[in-house]
Amino acid sequence: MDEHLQKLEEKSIFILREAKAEFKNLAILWSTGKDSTASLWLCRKAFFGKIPFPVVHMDTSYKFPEMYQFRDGIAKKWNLNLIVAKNEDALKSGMSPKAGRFECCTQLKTDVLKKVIEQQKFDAVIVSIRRDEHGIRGKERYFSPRDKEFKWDYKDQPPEMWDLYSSISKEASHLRVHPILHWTELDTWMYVKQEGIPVNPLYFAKNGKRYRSLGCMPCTVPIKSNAKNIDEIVEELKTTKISERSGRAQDKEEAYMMQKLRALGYM
Amino acid sequence: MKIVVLGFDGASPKLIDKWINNLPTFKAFKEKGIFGYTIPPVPAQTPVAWTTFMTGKNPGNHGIFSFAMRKKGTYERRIATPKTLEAKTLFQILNESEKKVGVINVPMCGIQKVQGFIAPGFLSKNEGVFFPEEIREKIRLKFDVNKILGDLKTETLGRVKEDPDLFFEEVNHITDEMAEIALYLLQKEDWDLFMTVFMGTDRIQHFFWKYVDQTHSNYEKNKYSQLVRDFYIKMDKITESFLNSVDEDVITIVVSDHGFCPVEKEVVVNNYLEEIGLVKTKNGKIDLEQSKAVSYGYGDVWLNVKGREPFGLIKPGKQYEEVRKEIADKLMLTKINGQVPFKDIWKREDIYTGKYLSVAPDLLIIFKKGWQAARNPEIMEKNELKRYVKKNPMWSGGHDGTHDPVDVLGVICSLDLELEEKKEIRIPLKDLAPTILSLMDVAIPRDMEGEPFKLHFRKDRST
Ligand SMILES: [Zn+2]
Repeated sequence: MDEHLQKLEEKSIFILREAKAEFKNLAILWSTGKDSTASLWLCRKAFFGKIPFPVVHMDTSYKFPEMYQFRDGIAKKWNLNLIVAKNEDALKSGMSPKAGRFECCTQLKTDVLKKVIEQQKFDAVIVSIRRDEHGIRGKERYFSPRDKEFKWDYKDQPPEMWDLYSSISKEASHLRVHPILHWTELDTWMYVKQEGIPVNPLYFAKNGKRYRSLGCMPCTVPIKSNAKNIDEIVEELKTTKISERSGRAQDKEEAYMMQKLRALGYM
Repeated sequence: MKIVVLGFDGASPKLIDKWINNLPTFKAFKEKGIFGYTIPPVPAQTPVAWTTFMTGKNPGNHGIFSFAMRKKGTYERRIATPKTLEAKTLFQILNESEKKVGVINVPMCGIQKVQGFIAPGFLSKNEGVFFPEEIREKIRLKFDVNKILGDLKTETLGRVKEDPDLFFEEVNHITDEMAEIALYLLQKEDWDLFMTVFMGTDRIQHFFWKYVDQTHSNYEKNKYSQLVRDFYIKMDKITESFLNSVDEDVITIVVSDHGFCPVEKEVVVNNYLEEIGLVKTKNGKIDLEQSKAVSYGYGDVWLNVKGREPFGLIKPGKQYEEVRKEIADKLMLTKINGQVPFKDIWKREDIYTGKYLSVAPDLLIIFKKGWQAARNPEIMEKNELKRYVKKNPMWSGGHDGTHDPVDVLGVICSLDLELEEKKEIRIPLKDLAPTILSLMDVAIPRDMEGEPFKLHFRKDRST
């Protein structure tokens, strides 16, 4: 086993076991994407093959059909205690990304998560965010948002805290556990390859394009790529031109900003 | 004391001097009030400069070192946005002291918790949208717009070479509209600090600098020289309207975050690093794992350090220092057609201090006037004569590629302030936030690095 990956894995398993020992009502969020699927894999390793807590999938019903197939296949194969959470009320009242990305994500994801946490009385939730997706310093901790004295601590959170998790943590009384915070995108792919973890086929290139992250269909943009399998993705991540490294926008806003900076001559 | 800060991004003291007889308000600043220079941070780029202004800190303590920085522990490049800002802003500090603010289109200023209102500026995904909603509603009812256009459309910017007239038409239109909305809020809303930044000066100068700067090697006088001057006349008029719209006990300060210098040629720093054996390539692309040092396109140089980058090659400590010295020594001797494009090479700890020093580029290359770093960091095809040099880049004026701050000074003026002692004003941007706080009688937070500049309120504007 690769030494670098082994260290990452050990740390993640340690965090997962600590979390299990610490909290009575633990759950893990699973988007079906590569990161949270890798986390499920780590859970299976940490707890000897069977994940001893519920796996929550937040379904906006705007996801790719491939995602549902993948989800149900894995749930069966790994014998998951799967909870599918949907905001039926908002969906019935016609909420869709047309109402604005922020509104849609708030109603369909944030509210759903809030509800499921309340209903199931989860005291901690495992979330598969990586530090390299966030700020230069990465403000998230492995266990957040409480500080060492177990007090709420939002003061040094980013000024625009509009992402899913921080907007909930303001009011909720649960903790978030981040077992793969120290991983990078490349780490995840190398680990997926080494362990033979199944991944959603949407990550692989079709007609010169592939998805780098899998969100709701209307809010996710594919990137230019010819990487047709995990090896090629790893190679692509290792050799991407510098100028493309921020051009592979993870969402529409970033893509828009890149385009503007290019037009201005700043990129 | 209430304060109005009127920002004109990149407004150049050189051009104000050149056209001073057409700019009565700025002439009055010179004759009756104060007229001096702001010293931008390194690099003198818009996001770095306004963040320095807003926080009263150097980049080492606010975390914004460039438009694009390398993500810690990766080889990825990421864009500076308000989300990546690591320090408290002037507006947040004022909020804690129960002061009201009105903030419109300040670059790198996103949504913040304030009493009053904010329309985020350049680099925020919420650019131009007023918060809270009541203000948005007021603006919609009065002006029939959902947001302000603080900047040119991407399509117009992308077509500036083919359609320069459309560019000028649009920049004039958005500037007039924003001035109108800002003046309305200035008069109707309650505030202790009101600040708005106009971007037009910067955008115009990047593309049209060679028509107004006689020291540019491709200087040419034509109708665009007039159009740039006309925009400065517009800036003068807007400033006058602001001065006329506030009470006598309000201090109005006009400020720019940096000035401009000519850009004639650009070089790809990575070509130089390849020449001295530090950049390695594979299939024509830079191999980030095998390269000891790379640039991401701004005169920034990042080393590949063991334990810090995923595939680090350089041992921290002695070897790290040796490689930095090697780069500095060798690059300063590399000539192109007999010329060295670099003015100096600085180590990060020589220009920055603070908790984010460890995420700054390891070295910063300072370019001579006329040169800049090519924005696309990819290695260029080697061409016998003009090795690595791209003539006539997209821009003819610049301020950040990376230039010495003294070559791109900004401007600061006011009719409502006077100096404690007579001297030329050269005020570092990071001193402005503490200066504003002290004029407003608000305690300066201890971690703010800048020093308040010794300025007094001047009661009578007319003398
Ligand atoms: Zn600027």
